[in-house]
Amino acid sequence: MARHAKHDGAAALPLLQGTLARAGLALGALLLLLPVVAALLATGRVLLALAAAVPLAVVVVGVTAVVRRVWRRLPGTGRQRLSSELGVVTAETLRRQGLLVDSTAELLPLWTSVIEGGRGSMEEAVTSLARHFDAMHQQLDVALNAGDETDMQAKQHALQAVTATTQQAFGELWASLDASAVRDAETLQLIGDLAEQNAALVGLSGEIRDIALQIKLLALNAAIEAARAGAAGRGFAVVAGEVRNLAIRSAEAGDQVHDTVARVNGRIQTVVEQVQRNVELSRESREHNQRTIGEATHNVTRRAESMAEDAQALMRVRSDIEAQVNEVIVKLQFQDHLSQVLDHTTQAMDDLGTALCPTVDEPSDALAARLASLRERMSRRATTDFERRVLTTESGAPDETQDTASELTFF
Amino acid sequence: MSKTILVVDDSASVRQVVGMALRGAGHSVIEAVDGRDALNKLDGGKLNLVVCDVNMPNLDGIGFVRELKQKPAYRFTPVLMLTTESEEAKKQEGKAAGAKAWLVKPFKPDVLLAAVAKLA
Repeated sequence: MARHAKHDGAAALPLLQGTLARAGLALGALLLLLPVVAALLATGRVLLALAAAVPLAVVVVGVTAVVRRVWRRLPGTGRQRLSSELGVVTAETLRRQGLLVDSTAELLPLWTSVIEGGRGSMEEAVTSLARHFDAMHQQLDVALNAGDETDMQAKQHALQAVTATTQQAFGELWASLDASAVRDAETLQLIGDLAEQNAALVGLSGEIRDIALQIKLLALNAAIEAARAGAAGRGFAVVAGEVRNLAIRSAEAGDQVHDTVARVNGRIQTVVEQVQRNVELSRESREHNQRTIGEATHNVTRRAESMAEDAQALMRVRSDIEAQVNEVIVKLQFQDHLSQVLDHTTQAMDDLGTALCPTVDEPSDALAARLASLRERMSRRATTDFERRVLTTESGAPDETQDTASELTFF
Repeated sequence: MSKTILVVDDSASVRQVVGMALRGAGHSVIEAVDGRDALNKLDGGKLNLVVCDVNMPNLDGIGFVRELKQKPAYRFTPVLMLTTESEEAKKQEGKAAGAKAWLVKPFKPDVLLAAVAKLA
């Protein structure tokens, strides 16, 4: 207060001029920051814009605080002189500035809290999102029965091998059925031959009977001739009788052979019919089996092809999902970027707040130098392409920043 | 083949997505929140690779790598720096500390896995 008492009206003018010079510097800093805020707003980063707006508020607070402090330190006469000479700073303006300073000073910590809280909430939410996404990805992997592509190909090869083995087994069975048909035909042919030979036996037995009948007639004629010869033909008559008996027995044997052959022939015929029925049944059964085998082979082949197509479709789906998961992994990293940008902005706010609270006696050059260093500090702190791009573009320098995302360097 | 990888990053979401990419490829992941935490988690066990951020509180990535290389058990453990930093000077700092590779965030998982395959 003793220091304040030394100021008189004459000294107040240069003091205020110095203050206005500082305010000019502060406004210069304000103008430097405005494009940054505009750029952030233009990119739709509202939270960043809010963070960048805080330094603007600090500028306003700093300017008004300095003006207010100087104003209060002026003696009454000086105030009157200044009011009359400058005619710019009215009591009403100062009152409003005071109100602005008070409300801004009250809001500043709230803004900081909001930014910090928002950053914390964002990190928590993004981490939780990433965790849930990770779990979902793992479940999808299980659902898609994900092995790697080599596993999938190995399964397909195994399936093809099983299909080939099945087709080979069915082919052998088919050939076996064909061989069975050939054997049935051969059997039928042999039985047919047997029936024919047997039929020949029937004819032969009839011929035996005819021969026996002729011998019997011959024996009868011989007996008649023997009777006509009298005593001389008595012995011949005995022979003729025996020949007749043999003829009768031959005829009986022929009848028996005929009957037997006929019975055998009947049996053979029955067997032939039975075999023919069996062969027919066998043929029907074979054709049925061959149809079944054909359908089964076709089904197995079709199923195998379908499974191969499914496996390929599954691999395509899995590949698509992997691509999308990779994209999400890249996008989820925005939180880390944003967190760093917010951290740097908060530090820049602190720098600005400190720079805008000079002592009254601080030379304007020193304040100018400190304000000028703010941007340089921001540039030094920049760790992201986004910050570097904004700082470079807004300084009017050509934008030589490159997109370095995922740039890999081996040492 | 499964590798054991230490992931050091102060961002929980980055640890999560790095872990997702590495675990998805069949690797085991140990997480640390900064360089100091990572040093505390070194128990002499086998580590095939360290994936490490640069800007972290307590002990930053460059400082951590320097201390890691002082430990006989981990002198030859390869280190991949994973960071938003892309300045050449920073990369040279990492190389001087003992890092073997430098990957700029945001990373693509296939690029990360290619680096892991080459280093681990």
